Amino acid sequence: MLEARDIHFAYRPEAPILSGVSLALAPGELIGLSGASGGGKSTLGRIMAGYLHPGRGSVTSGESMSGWSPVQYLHQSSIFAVDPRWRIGRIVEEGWQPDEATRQALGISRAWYDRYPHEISGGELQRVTLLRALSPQTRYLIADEITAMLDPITQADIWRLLLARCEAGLGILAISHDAPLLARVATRTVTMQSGKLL
Amino acid sequence: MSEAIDIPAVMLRSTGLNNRAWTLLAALTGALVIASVAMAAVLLGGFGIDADFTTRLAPPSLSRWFGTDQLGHDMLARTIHGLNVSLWVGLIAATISVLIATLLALFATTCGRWADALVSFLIDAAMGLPHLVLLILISFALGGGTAAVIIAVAVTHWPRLTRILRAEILQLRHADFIIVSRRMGKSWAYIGYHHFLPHLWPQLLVGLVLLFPHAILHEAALTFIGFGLEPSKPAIGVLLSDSMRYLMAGKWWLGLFPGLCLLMLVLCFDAIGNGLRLLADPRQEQL
Repeated sequence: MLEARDIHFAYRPEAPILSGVSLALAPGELIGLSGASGGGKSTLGRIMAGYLHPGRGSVTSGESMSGWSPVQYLHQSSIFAVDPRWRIGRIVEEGWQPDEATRQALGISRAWYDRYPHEISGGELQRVTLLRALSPQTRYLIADEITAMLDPITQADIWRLLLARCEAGLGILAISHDAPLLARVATRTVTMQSGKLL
Repeated sequence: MSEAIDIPAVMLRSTGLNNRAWTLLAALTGALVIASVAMAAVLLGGFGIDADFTTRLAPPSLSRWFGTDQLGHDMLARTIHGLNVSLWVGLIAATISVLIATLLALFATTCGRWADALVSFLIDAAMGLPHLVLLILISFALGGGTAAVIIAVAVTHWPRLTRILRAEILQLRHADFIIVSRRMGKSWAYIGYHHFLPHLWPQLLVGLVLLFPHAILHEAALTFIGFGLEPSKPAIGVLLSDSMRYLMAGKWWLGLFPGLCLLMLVLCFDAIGNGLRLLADPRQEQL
């Protein structure tokens, strides 16, 4: 269980982003997190993935924190999540050796492996970061708007794969503006408004 | 009524070379010129250093391209010797400067807030002082000579590069792809080598090459006003200050050619620096 308890967070003390948020993500569960822009969705995602430290409250994943982290985060702008001086092949294989089936299911071509991140499209890069995160050691995935910039067919392919992984025990927190999408894929949906879960 | 709107295609340069190729060609030419100066100085040996009183103050001619000075030295040979001295002084001083900059930047970014504040203060203090005054003071305090010039140039040229490196390291440390690497279980040693270094070495290399012209010009300036290299050394600064006495008598070649050659050397380093910057960044490949 990935559990965030009573999270408070603020970049500046006078403007709190999160005030007392608690959320628990079980293995095999797909929680959809929606809400207006600037409501703190991404901040909550980054805190649960360990990218940011909460001002108050705690995040526990029930597993040891050394080595590959059981919680992986997918940035909504994947260009920030890859080293601009690395080629795609090296990026994909930095953490683990992805299997061919997953690579093909995500529509990732080997021809991209020689290119730099700025030489493939945003949607292609988004899939590359997804493949990189889908190691068997990943127990929970925080997916921040990962299909917003993809065409409908690729979107469907990716969600089909993620739902299959979910059935196999992967816990997913899907952050999105797209309420119909979340309604279709999520086990349950929560809405965030000005730093609180409704 | 319809009229086709004609949008003219962008005219491509007819040489078939793009900006990138031009920059790299310039860098290569610069490197060749610098290498041939160093080689020529070795090949010349004592020529241009030993006096020859039979041909004093001869103007430029086909046999003596740059003319001769008051002691009958061939000015072309003397200029090449001078440039060679400048190269060595520049190389040593610039390398020491880059080392200082690297150590200070690492210190500022890894040893906590007080270290960062201290280094920032040092940068501001060093950049706030007039460069040349500091150079003269240090060189004078150390008693002049080659070692004094090298130390003076080395300890005054680190602030700019330190500032660049510090900013780059700070930016990288908070970059998402570094956190991603951490979350994939990579050690700081791995991240330092595989993520930080590829971003930092181009800065270091370009910084080193672009420090060269500064070091060379300041060495010449120090020597010109008499606080630098020994007057017996065939340095460009010495040649220029010697030429002052004869310029009024119409011996223009004594100052013009060494000055032009110094300018050429500096431009060569500039071209190499630009070429390296282009080569080092994959995002610049299409430019």
